[in-house]
Amino acid sequence: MKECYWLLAIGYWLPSIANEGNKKPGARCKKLVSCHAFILFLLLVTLLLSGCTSASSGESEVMQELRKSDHIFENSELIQTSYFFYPSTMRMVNIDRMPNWDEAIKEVRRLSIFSMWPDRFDQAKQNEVVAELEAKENFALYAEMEDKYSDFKLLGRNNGTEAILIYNDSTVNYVVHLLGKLNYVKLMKLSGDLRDTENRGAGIDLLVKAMGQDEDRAIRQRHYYDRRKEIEAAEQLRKDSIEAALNKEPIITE
Amino acid sequence: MKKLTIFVVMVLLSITTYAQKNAVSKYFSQYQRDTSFTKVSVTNKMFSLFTEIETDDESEQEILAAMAKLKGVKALFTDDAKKANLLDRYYDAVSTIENDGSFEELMTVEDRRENVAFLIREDDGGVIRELLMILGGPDNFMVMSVFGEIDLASIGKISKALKIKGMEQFEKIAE
Repeated sequence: MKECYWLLAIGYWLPSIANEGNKKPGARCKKLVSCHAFILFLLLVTLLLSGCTSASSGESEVMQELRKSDHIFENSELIQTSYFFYPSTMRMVNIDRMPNWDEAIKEVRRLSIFSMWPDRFDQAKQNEVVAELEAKENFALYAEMEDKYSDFKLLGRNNGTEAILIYNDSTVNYVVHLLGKLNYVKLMKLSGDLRDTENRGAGIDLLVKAMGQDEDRAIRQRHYYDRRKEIEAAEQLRKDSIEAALNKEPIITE
Repeated sequence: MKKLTIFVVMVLLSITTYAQKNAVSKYFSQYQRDTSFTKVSVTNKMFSLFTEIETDDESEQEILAAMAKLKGVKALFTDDAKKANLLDRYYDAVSTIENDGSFEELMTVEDRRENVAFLIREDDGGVIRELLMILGGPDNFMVMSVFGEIDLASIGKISKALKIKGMEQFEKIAE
């Protein structure tokens, strides 16, 4: 946004130089200077505007591609449910008014949580996404964790103003996309506070409940896929046995 | 001849550095594929974010300053006592790393429930470059390595203020 103010200032300043030049002797020479100034001004406009647009839509293209695969009203390919939180909605979640929560998210512009279909956003696809983020978009690994039941990878870029978390557990996968700065000290204090208390806060409870439904859907989907695989395997076996029977050389008995 | 001497010194230095790195990283890589272990790694990129945070709170400023000097954290944790006796794992880890020679023991607290050993690696200037915590009891086993430029007093304060699971043991150093 600062670039836009600079742009306006330059826009006012350059024509005023040009007009100043026309009043003095040697106006032709000054006109030439003003012409150059105008071209320079146009160049600056183009450069700064392109800078402004890329800054406003400066989020990861890999993430945008991933989101394109989310056909909410059709059969979604990878994403099961998308949750978008903006500063106002993030403050709303904090019904119990935990001060560390508000401080942690103060500079966050948008937090998107994508609940993925585990069978489609599998380990291979996740590795592909991580490799693309690192190779094409300068994302670096901030932290990773792996245990028997779950794992996560946290990647970020531009001094942490954009971060992506890929989380898996035995039933569900999440991709969390954060735009803006998260205050990690406050976040760690918040997690310490939450650990000390039984009460997570009504807003967080609601969110966890909503995500629990995704987990149930993912479990149902996994059962559906497993059942479908079983049916397909049985069908294939039946076809193979029919084909084998048909191809079998007839036994000629005398 | 002079060039050759410099080359030999450089090679020897790099071998020494490799050996120092190898002491703990060998231990971590040993359990890298063991699914009964939880593995955590935090890179220097994460810690560099702490330099960007502004705060008026003095205690937080101290935490941020200490965290900005860190280069990374690696941790291994298990509570699966089926595969091996976790107390044996603790004694094995302490002796393996002590025998390497690059670490010196800072403090050990041993009781019937839980044993904790803190080891440090210093550079030539006496600055602590790595702090290693090995924790072992009948129900759990953990190795955590914090590396970078380490101020022991601050580490204790960080763990106290942030209440990070597993890091509460570092408070013992500050006591």
